[in-house]
Amino acid sequence: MRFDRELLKGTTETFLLAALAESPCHGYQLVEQLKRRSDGIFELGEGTVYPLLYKLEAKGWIKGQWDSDTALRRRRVYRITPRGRRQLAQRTRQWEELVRGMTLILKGAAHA
Amino acid sequence: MHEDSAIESWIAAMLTGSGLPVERRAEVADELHGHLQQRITAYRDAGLSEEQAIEGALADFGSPRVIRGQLRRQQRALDRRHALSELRRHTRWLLTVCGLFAVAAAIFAPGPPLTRYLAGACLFAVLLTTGSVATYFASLAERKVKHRLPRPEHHFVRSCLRWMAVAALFLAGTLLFGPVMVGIAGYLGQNSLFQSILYRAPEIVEGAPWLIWYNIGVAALESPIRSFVVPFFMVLGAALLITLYERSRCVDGQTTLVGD
Repeated sequence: MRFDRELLKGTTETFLLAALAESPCHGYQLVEQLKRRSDGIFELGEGTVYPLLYKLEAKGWIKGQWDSDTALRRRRVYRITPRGRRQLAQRTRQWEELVRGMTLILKGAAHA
Repeated sequence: MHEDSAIESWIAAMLTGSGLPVERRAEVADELHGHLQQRITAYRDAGLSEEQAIEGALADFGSPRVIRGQLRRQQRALDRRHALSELRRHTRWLLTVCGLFAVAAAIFAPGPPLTRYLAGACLFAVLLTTGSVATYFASLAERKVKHRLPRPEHHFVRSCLRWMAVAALFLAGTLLFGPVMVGIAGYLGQNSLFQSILYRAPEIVEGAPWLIWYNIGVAALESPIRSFVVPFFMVLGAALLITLYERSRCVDGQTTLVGD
């Protein structure tokens, strides 16, 4: 499904934080998770995940480390930081409020 | 089409003009290469041909131009943030060092000794107060670029109070210990501490209240520090212009690092 760009602002960041809060992942795994967990609703250009990851890392919300255990090419595994967890909690609260408010408004409009 | 060469050319197209530092480019290239390889392998395992797997993986990854644009905006924001942080730090140091120079120059300039000393202290206080304004703007812009919620009023008051408290302490110290300092200076000059204090006493009582403020500018402009004052204020002006420009770029107190 294609979403309005303005509507999606910030959602990918929140998703990335939520995914990393469950377990550390590398970029490929994150993209796969996004597809799977959103039931195909969110489809992101895979390359666009990386600028977002670098942005979150620059903010100190996640931390990337090279994984040297793999026999294949080195991979960078990202972990959420305590600051990232606080940010996620804050965004989750905001989302819940936003969804509740929008649902009330849209239901009202549908019944009118 | 060979897998590695296709990936390398896609990555090269994406990184060219991205503005990333050289060492960062190598890391990003390494990371994206790994991702693309995994995707190609997944497509191959799903039964696609080599050619189709590569094309599919690159198509999934998106346009190198778009990603390059995102990386470039992000890097610019990071560079700007770093520059502002450095600006704030250096402004503070510059102000402190110039203030100390001013004090030293005022103390050793010709004129009534306590007046000179107080003039130096006042000049220092003025510079510190200027510092509060300059660092306020620099830190405000830095905070906004960092995407944090700015609290301009509180921050400004706190910043001013902090700097002015230092200036006030310095002035209080000057008033308390000024005569002693003058005495020491006189002792060093005339080899007699008591004689110096006695000779300077009338100047301390009579001259100081009127000459303190008059001498602030005079001490600055007639002393050797004038060679520091002009470039200092030029730097300060440039710093303020930069920070004001940065402020004007921030929308509603928030600037995203990626830009979109």
